[in-house]
Amino acid sequence: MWSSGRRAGAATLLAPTWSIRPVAPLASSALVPFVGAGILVLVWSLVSLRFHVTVFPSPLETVQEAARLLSNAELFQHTGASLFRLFLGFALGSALAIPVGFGMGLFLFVRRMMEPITEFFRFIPAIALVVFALIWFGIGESSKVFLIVYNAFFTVAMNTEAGVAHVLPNRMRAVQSLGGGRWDTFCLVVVPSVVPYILTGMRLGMGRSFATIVSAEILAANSGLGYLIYSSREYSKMDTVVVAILLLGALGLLADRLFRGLTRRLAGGYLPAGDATGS
Amino acid sequence: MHAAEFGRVEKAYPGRDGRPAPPAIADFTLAIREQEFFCLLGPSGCGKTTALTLLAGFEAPTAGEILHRGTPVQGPGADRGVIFQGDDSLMPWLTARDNILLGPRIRRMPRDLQQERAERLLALVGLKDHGHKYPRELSGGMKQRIQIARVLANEPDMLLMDEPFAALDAQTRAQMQEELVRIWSGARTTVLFITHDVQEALVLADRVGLMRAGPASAIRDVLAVDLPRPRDRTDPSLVSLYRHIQGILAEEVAGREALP
Amino acid sequence: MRRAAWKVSELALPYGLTVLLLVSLWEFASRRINPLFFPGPTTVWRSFLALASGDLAAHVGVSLVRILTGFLLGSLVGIPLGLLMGGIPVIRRLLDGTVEFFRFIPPIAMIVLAVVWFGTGEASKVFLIIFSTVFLVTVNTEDGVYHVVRNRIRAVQAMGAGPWDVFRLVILPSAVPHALTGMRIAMGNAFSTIVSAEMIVADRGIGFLLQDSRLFLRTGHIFVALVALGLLGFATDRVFRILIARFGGEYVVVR
Repeated sequence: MWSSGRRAGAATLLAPTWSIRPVAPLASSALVPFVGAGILVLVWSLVSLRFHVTVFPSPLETVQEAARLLSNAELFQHTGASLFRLFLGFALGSALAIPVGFGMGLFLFVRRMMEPITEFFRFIPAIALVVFALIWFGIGESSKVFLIVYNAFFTVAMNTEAGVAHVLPNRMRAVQSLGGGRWDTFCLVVVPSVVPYILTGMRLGMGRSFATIVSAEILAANSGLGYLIYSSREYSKMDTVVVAILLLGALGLLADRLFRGLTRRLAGGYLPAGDATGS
Repeated sequence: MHAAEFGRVEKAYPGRDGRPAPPAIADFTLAIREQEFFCLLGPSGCGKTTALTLLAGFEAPTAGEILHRGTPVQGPGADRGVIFQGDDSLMPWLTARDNILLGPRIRRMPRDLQQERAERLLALVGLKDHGHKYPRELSGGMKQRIQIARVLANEPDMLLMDEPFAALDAQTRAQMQEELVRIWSGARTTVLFITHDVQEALVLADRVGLMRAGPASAIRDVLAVDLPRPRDRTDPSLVSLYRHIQGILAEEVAGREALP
Repeated sequence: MRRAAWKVSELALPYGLTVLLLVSLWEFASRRINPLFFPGPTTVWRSFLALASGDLAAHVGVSLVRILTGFLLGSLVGIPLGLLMGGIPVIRRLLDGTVEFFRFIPPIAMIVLAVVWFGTGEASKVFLIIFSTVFLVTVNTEDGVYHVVRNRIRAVQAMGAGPWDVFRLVILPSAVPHALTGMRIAMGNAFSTIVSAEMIVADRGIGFLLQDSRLFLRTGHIFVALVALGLLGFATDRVFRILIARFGGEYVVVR
């Protein structure tokens, strides 16, 4: 993720001298990650031999179940329901958070006024608010979307603020001395500098939002991947559970990589460090 | 026997897409005498650092032979102390004193001797009262002094210095050069000093090795600097040597730029 | 860090203003809205007194023990695994994809499997916390090892250091702030996970308290539980921040 120039590739780490180099070709083979996954599937198969499918489904049983779920619309509906909540909540939460974050970064007084709020709420896990969300919004869509909004808001606001704080003064001065006014400075320097931070905030908030939505759907919903997992428990359909878990992992990974790719593109190859504590 | 010998050394790094790139140095031959102060001088990108990296043993040459006191270099070792260009080789989590003591600790020196040695070296590099400080609390010049002390704590046969003063301001640099000469006069280890600063080479070196412009660089000339120390930068014979070397370097750079 | 420089007197006005604004808004809202939906400060204070003399400490204690057990076990696996993956290319390439994938599975999604495998007791909750912890700690420790500054390794090698010295003197200290950063994030996630898990299957713990209070519409109790959670999260986070700063973790990147 960082330039490898000044950093040690791991090959140099434990090799005391260059005389023990022959390890390298094995490690650099493109097949190695697949061997790793292969070993995992093998172990999974061996363990599953000892258990019934209702306790520990085998890889084959899982694949068969995945095929069954894909053949009817059920899996798509649940996935769609979860993703819809996630994206709606994320869009709303970010839309609220970005102006607040800019306000906090640009104006000292706003920052100081917001601090007690952010410092307090970011340590309350979103899922703990599910009880209020249910009381306030009922068990419909709005309670789940509310939780994601909450989740996204603090992470995105705090990372936006950090981005504004990290704008390089000399870049602003450069634009000013080229004849740019406040608006030019904002558009040409502040915004492009902050966008990668906003995206990093969104990326970090995304992982938590997945966890939140799954919990919320387990506790109170009749659709979504969390609901699918929890309802499968009643019929001991552990194969369905495993399919849903793997799907969640894949979706989370995909979302992370999309945000990373976007951030890198917009930041010229640089991925800013984020503050992951924002709720 | 020489302190170090390069015999027709070549070093090529893999290119961007794995295809072989032109070598950084090729047919590089050089002998460094015992106890001499040798400066390797050349335009930027000519492979000076590559030569040092190979003698330090951090990387292996792709062809040729490198000897240290007659034995082939097999890897890094305590007999060749390395002083790096930047300050990133100091451990930020250790104080100046503990950074100096890294070598003695690696070599399992008795504790009372360690402390004694650390104090002596801190005094030698003029940082007697700064041993408890962390690298981030020290200035650039102080950090390079710590690097020098850290290497001397190991009593190496040879100091390999990779543009150690390049990042310092002109005043500090001149001061560090004087002190290096003073320390070297006392310790009398062999020094291989890399620089792209002609004046620095002339103030410090017994002999100066001039490199060709890269790639596939090698030694072009070796000049002896027979002037008493401490040297005066405005000494007419030093100035005329300076002009002579500048002329050669300009030729090298122009020659490289003339290439297609 | 930059906030630490501010004087208390400068902070009093904006902080006081915000708190005053929030509390009055809160009081106002609770008078307009059914207090069952939105309890006012007085209701919450009474709930606090009731809980403080009753079960609050017990619930908090149960949740904390679960978190700490799982967190320590997870770190005990994650740190050595991260060191191995960072230091040995073959191991990294074997496991990187797998660990990276598992990192994105929300731990709470494992709850059904956890209950089937380990029952409804403590073991399933500890398992979920281990799952929340282990991958984050592994990945961040690995990052720390992988991004060790090359010249530091070279410097000790040129002092005669062997592989063990390089590990002990350079790699391990370089990895510590990264490992701590992973642990800090993992701790935050562990709180989320344990609350969810206790809401779903438990008869004790803060999550249970929340769920139980919801079922009986004791909204004052819910507020108290939320504040307790916030304070616990804040305290543990501070501990990790202090530790990271102590070990020179200024350059740490969150992965």
